[in-house]
This record gives sequence, C-alpha cells and structure tokens, in this order.
Amino acid sequence: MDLSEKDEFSAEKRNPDNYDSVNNPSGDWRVDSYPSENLISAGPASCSPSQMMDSFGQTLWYDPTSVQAVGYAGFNGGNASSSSFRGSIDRSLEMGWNLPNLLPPKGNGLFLPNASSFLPPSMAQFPADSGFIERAARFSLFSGGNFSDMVNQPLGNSEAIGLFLQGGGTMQGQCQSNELNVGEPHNDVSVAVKESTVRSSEQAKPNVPGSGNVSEDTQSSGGNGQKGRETSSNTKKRKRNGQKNSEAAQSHRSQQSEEEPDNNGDEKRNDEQSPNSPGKKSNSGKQQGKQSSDPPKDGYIHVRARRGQATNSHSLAERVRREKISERMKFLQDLVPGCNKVTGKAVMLDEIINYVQSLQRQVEFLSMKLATVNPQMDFNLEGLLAKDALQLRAGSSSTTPFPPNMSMAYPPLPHGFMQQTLSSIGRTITSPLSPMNGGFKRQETNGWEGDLQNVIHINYGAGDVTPDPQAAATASLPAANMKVEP
Amino acid sequence: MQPTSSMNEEFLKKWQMGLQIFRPSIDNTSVHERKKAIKLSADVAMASLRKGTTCWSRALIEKTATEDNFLVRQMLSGIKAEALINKKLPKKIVCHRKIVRRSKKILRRKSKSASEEAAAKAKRLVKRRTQGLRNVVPGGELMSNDVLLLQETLDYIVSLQTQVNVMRSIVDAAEAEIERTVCCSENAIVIRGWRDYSKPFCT
Repeated sequence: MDLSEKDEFSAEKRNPDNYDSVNNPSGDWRVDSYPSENLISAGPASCSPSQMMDSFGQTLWYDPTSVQAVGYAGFNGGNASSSSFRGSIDRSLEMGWNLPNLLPPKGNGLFLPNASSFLPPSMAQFPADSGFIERAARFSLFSGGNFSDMVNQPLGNSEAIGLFLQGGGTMQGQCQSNELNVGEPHNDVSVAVKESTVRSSEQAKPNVPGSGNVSEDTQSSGGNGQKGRETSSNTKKRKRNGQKNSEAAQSHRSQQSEEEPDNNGDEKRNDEQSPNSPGKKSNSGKQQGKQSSDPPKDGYIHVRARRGQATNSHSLAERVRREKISERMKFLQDLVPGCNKVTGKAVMLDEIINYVQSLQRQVEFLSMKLATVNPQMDFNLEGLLAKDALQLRAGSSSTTPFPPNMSMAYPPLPHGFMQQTLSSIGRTITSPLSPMNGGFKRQETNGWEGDLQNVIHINYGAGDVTPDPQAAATASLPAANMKVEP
Repeated sequence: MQPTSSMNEEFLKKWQMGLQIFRPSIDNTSVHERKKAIKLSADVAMASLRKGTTCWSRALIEKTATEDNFLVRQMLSGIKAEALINKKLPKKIVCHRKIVRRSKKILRRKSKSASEEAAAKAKRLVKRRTQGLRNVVPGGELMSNDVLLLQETLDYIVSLQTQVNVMRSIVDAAEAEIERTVCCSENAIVIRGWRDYSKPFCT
C-alpha cells in the first residue's frame, strides 16, 4: 500500500495518524491497536477537522514552547468526545505537535487530511537528514524494534520527535527502529518526547498479544532521576537505577518493555476488582535495577511515571485507570456488533447500553414465546443436545427474522440446522401436540393477541415510546403472526 | 469472545433443571406465570454459569431470589446457594444529587474556556452513559469503579448472548415442529377428503 511511503514519511505520518486514531470515526479509535495500514490510508471523516485545525493551527504550529499546555487544550477543544481518552492520546499529541515546528505550517486544510496528502508537502521541508528519516522510520516500529542500538545514542530532539511520532500512535509498522538520531535540537521536544517514548512503549504493549494489563508496566525514562514513585494501591514501582542517558534509558526501557510481554504477564496483577485509590503510595514493591524478568508476585502492578509527567500518585493511578478502561472498551467493541466504526467513549457506551437492553428484551420476548408455544413446558431438549444443534448455534444466529424493534441483525442459520432440529424434536413433541393441533392453535392465537400487548409493554417498559399495541402487534412480530395465524 | 457451544449446553442443562421444578404445577398456570417461570429459571441458569465469580451474577441471583426464593434454592442446590444468596453485596453508591449539582455549578463557574467546557461536556456525557449502563447491568449500582463496570458488562453480554441463542434455538425448533405437525395434519385431512370425494368414482 503506502508502505514505502510510510517508511519515508513515517515521521510526519504519526501526527495525522494520532489525530486519526483519535478522531477518525471510520477507523479504530483505540490507540493501541491501530494497524499501520490504517494509519496511512485512513482519513478523518467527521471529526470537526476545521475546529481542530483552528485550535491546532493557531496554537501549536507557532508556539512550540507552550506546546504542552496548548496542545492539551487544543486537543481537548477538538475532540470533545474522547475527553477521558485524553490520557493516552493527548500527551502523545502534545509531543507530536512539537514536530510541526520543524515543518512550515501547511495551512489548515492540509493538516488533518489523510496521511498521504499530508506527507509530501511536509516532506519537502523536513530536515534533510536522510539518516534521520530512516531512523525515524525504523524507530517507529515498536514491536520489532531493536532498541539496543538506540541505547547509546544521544537522544537529540529530532530523535525525540521520531520517538514521539512513533509514540503517538499505535505503531506496528514494518520498519525496524534501530536508531534515531535526529539532529534538530529542540528542547521542548526532548522533554516531551521522552515522555512519548515511554508512552509509546506503554502503548506498544497492548499491541503485544496476550498481555492483558500491558499498559501498567510502563517505564519512565530515567533521565529525570527516579520518577514514578507514586503508585496506586495496585501498582508497584520499579526503581530504575540512574541510567546515564535519559534517552538511552528510555529507549532501552522501551525495548525492554517490548521484550518482556511475557514477563509482564507475571508481574501484572489483574486486580481489577479493587477500587482505584489514587491517594495511596505504595513503595513496597520497588525493585532495583532492571525490571527485566523477576517481578515478585506480590500482587502489585508496577507503573512508572513518564518523564515530564506529574509523578503525583493521583495522576499515575488515573493514567492506569484510563488505560484499563480503554482496554475494556476495546473488548466491548469486539463484542457489540457494529461498533467497529464508533469512536469515543460516549457513543460506545451508548451502543453498549442499547445492545444490552435489546438482549434483555429478546430474552423476555423469547420466554413469552416459549410459554405460549409450549404450554406443557416440556421442552424435550435431549434431542437438541444430542444433535449438537447448539454447536450450530454457537455463532449466534437465527433463522426467524427478528422484530424490527430489535436493533441487532442476525444472520440466518444454515438450513441444515432446521432439518436436524426437526428430526430430533419431531419424535418428542409430536405426540403431545398432534391430537390437539386445531384447538391448540386457536388457543395459541388468542393467547398471542392478549399477550402480545403485555410483551410490548414489557419491551417498552424501559421508557421508550409505547407504540400502539395493535400496530405493534401486527408490525413488530411478523414471524410469530405468520406462524400463529394461518 | 463469543458464546461457545459448551456454554450453550451448560446453560441448557441448568435451565432444564430449573424448568423441571415447575412441571408439576403446570396445569394451573397462566401464560404469564409460565413466562415468568421460564425467564426466571433462564436467568438463574445464566447467572449460575459464572458460579458467583462475577458481581452481576450474584446480583441477578439475589434479584430472582426476591421473586422466587424457592426456585433459586432448588436450582442452586448446595452450599453455593446459601453463599450466593447471603453474600453481602457491596453497598449501593448513593450520590446526593444536591451536593453534586452544587459542586458542578461551582466547577462550571470556574472554567470558562471553550475547550474546557467542551471537555467537561464530554465528561458529563460519559458519566451519564455510565450511569445508564449501571442501571441496565444487574448489580451495576454496586460497582465502585468504571473498570469493574466495564468488565462486568463484558461478561454479562456474553452470558446474555448465550441465553438468547439457546432460547431462540428452542423456540425455532418448537415452532418448526408445530408447523410441521400442522402441515402433516392438514395434509392428512386433505388426503382423506380426496379419498372420500373420489369414492363414488371408484365404485
């Protein structure tokens, strides 16, 4: 696709990508699992780009020194829907916005667009350091990255930028990141970037499969000494012995974080149940030296504050909490059908609520239906079990078209299922039903009419508009009516 | 994670067990009572799949216990029933609305910038939705933090999907069977009619 382009323009890409990842409704709004291809091709569709551009264009492009505050505000202004998402995105974006200083402002229109259009003009003005570009590209790949090369590199600002670029997003790129030695000094950027590196390392973790609470093992750069003392009750901190070079340290740590997804599994304590207590500091779990492999299983999750971030226990715990939440939302997005394109917490929560309510209503409806269909309630289900019809069911599908008031769409079952169930059920249900078919049906019909109204009231009891029972009865239960009233 | 077939089967078995309890008293019941019995036994079956590990399952069992204690006790035979029913759920989180509203007003007065207001608005939206989710998920009021709530929601959704799948499959099977028998009987009638009709021709 645009991979070659990506290699070259990976630096610039990160900005729009981060932006995209946050604001692109068509893409996955989860920061940590944004596939690299999407980074290139996705274009923000409807996230008030002009609004964001304005805030960014006015503030970020020209005022590098106050990026952090400004970027934060600008970001928030532009992205109302993911306010709580801020934790992972905005900081990286803050950093990222340092980068634009290197590039002459393109004007608002160019800022937000898809990465490909964004890149070429910026590329021209990008520091003509091919080594930088290459390194930036390579560095941008977290998962495969070999940070050892970077360890001893003095992390200049351009390097920081590259780190940031990568850190801002969900880099699973193809480039190998070995070194990043950008030669553009930019003081603010370096500070920001360190943070971003850690951030990126933290974000990279969710990319690693199988590590649940990856984000909790972020390691901060040691440049500012031993940051990250504060933890919530569930977090322990790993003390990093002063590593000479903060950048080296952070890159090294990033590498470590990359390399130890399995170790993280050990250390991580999935104590989701315990409440978040930001006020507590627990230094009991400190580990000296490298945190490579031997976290004692004392039930703590180590979190390290990032460089440049407040080491307040509150903010640390807050960050952990936010990441946990975003992880859960990711799972929920997989579970709730049709939510892949939804971005933002509020909309996502709305969808989840609707889905749960619809499932509950379905249960009510189906139980009512069962009650009428089978007055004896002798559901002889051994046949079902024997014929492993339920295996066919495992994929959650249905043959009967569901009433339109249900929001979910279900694919029809294969026909084979019906034959199987018929054969299995036929032997058992036929006998009690056959002698009284005519009477049964009539009775069932009458029962349906009366009970449909109740069902509808139940269904709409949650506060929805109560439809006209007659209309609803005829319109909303076509399947039942078809079966019941010949 | 989608509901697996083993989950389906487990649910079905437990549900059957619950329905058996109602079988003796079936003739006197109306449709509503039958429906209630079906639904309650299905709910308890669904909750018991989790064996008390999740908050929503305990809350759900407690809720059904208030409606039909006997059923719950029968279905969850053994110590587990006692433990689940008597288990103390965490206290409901009560927010004094007046105080909350007042503090929010104060906060609003302080932050005037547009971006901050937008962020605050987003936060409010999210909070409202979270509260809505708490109302929907059983035991949601009792969950202290959002992370737990989301986790419980996840589990609850999977269980609900299991329940819906199994119930729907049974309904479909039962309906198909009825239709089949109806058709057969209708065909039989038709054939008989033809035979009668054709008799004078034969002789």
